[in-house]
Amino acid sequence: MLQDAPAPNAARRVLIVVAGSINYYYDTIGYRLAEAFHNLGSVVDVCTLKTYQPAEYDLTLYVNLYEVAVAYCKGQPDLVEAIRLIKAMKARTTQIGVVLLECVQTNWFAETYRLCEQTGIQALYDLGFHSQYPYMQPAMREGYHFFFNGLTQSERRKVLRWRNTHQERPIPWAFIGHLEKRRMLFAHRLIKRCGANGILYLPHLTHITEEGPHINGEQLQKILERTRYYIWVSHHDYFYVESERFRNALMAGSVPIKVQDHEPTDESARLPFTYLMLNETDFDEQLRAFDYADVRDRFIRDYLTLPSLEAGVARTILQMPHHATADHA
Amino acid sequence: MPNTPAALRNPPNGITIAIPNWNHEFVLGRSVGSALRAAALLRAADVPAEVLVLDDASRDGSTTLLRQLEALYFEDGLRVLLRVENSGAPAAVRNQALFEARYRYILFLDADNEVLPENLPLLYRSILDTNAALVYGSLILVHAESGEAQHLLSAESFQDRILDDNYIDTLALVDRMQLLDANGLLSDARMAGREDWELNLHLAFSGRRLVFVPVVAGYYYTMPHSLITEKMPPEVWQRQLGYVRRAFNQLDLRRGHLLNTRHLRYHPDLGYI
Repeated sequence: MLQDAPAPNAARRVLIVVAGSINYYYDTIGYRLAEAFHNLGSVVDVCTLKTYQPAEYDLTLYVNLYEVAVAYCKGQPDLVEAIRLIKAMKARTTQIGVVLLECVQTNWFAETYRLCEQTGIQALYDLGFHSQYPYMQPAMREGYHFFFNGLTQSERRKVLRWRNTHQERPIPWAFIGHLEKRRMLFAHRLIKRCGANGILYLPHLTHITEEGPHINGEQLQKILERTRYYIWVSHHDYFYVESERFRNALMAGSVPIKVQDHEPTDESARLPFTYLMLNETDFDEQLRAFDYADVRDRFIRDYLTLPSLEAGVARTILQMPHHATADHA
Repeated sequence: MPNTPAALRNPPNGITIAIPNWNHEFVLGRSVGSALRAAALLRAADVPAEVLVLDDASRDGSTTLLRQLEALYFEDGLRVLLRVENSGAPAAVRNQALFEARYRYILFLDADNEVLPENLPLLYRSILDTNAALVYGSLILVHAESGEAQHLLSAESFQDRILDDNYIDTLALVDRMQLLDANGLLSDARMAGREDWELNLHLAFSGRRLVFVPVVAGYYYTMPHSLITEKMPPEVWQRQLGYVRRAFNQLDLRRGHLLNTRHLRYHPDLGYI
């Protein structure tokens, strides 16, 4: 269970551990969280297991524990060394937890959870748009906490700076992910129904390496800054809203479109941006019905009214009282 | 390959869509139609363009159909060349196109495939911007009878794994001058059916650039008895792999070797990605 938090405005020392691998995705989250903690008055260090310097911390967070461990034990058949180090780190921190950014019904989450059990970490902080508590197995629910993937202060400032500028966007859509059957079928329909000259990039599924075909965060940003609609299809059938894709689109001035093959669930009503979640059967009609400028303005406006990342961190991880976090809401 | 004639040394910019044909009467209309639409789009954007069909002595009704198509669409830029004797190798016909094309850039289009007209101008801008020898986009592999998409080809930039097998199809826009300078395609029996693989390796390891453009360039239809659906006999595969290793990677030094072309991805509205 989450241990008692110290006083809200104490100069807390926070350590955020990222994988530091080629997969930029989780590292980005680590640095965003670092900014949020910093804005809340904490002193923050970011490291990998390799660069960790033993010290005392009030809080240690691992951003995707499994990736962190795998990156540390690269080339080794098991994660024994990583588990040993994490256990040693645990002895030098008051509070410890794992940050999740994935659907809890997938194997990736199962790997992380297994590692949590092996290292004795009980606090799971799920960063996203919706709580996945109902989808978790009962035994896993203890220690689960959801917090909203809002903007940091610097991200908010950036959005406010460019929200009224209108950059030319010659690319109508971008559809990017690893190649699998469902995505390939969708790409075929996308080209037939929504125009041929969008960006399609579906490399084969492989580990992310320097030599591999993946694009990194900067490259994605570069593409989205010239693209009207950033479209994706989940590669699993479980209900999950990929909040980082929405944020990536926002930061590049693009409009995110999540295409799903099911009707909205009961939970959908509580989600933001449901107007950007289109059903696969008639996504093209809905997309054509959009006025790009209007839907972009609405998306930006809506995102700016949502709680900030600082607010989520303060309330959920630091357990600060609501009034103390109002400035960051 | 003979020396380049003087008339070919400075061909005007523009695109020749070259379609080698051998007994594809029933699908020629689709490939030629897509090529004519692409040529019209290019001309509308002030890019000179033509469609050149090179028939490799077909024995079906192709030649009659092609003559009719040429009569109908000559004004739209369709030219037809009929070979009297079959070359026995698609590469030989493509090499002929290097000499017969009017324009500097050639899009090789198989007679049973289809180019996506809207994206050819993007490939053209990409090859002009990058001075590449070859630019290509993804191809959607479509079952010819059901029309269902089955796979995606040519979907990634040039990487070392191409030494193990080819994944960049012939449907690509090439700089004819660079191909002539590189002696064109290998047209003997050693790499029959896999001439594109040999060409990709030859260009890359000659210091030239192959650039991936992340758009869909066309459709590759899986026809019965086509190269992609017929399983290659193991001994043929071993022979071809042996040739590739002998010609390009005999000392196993290629992986990680400096290249001008590894991971080149480009889009004219983005630059290199």
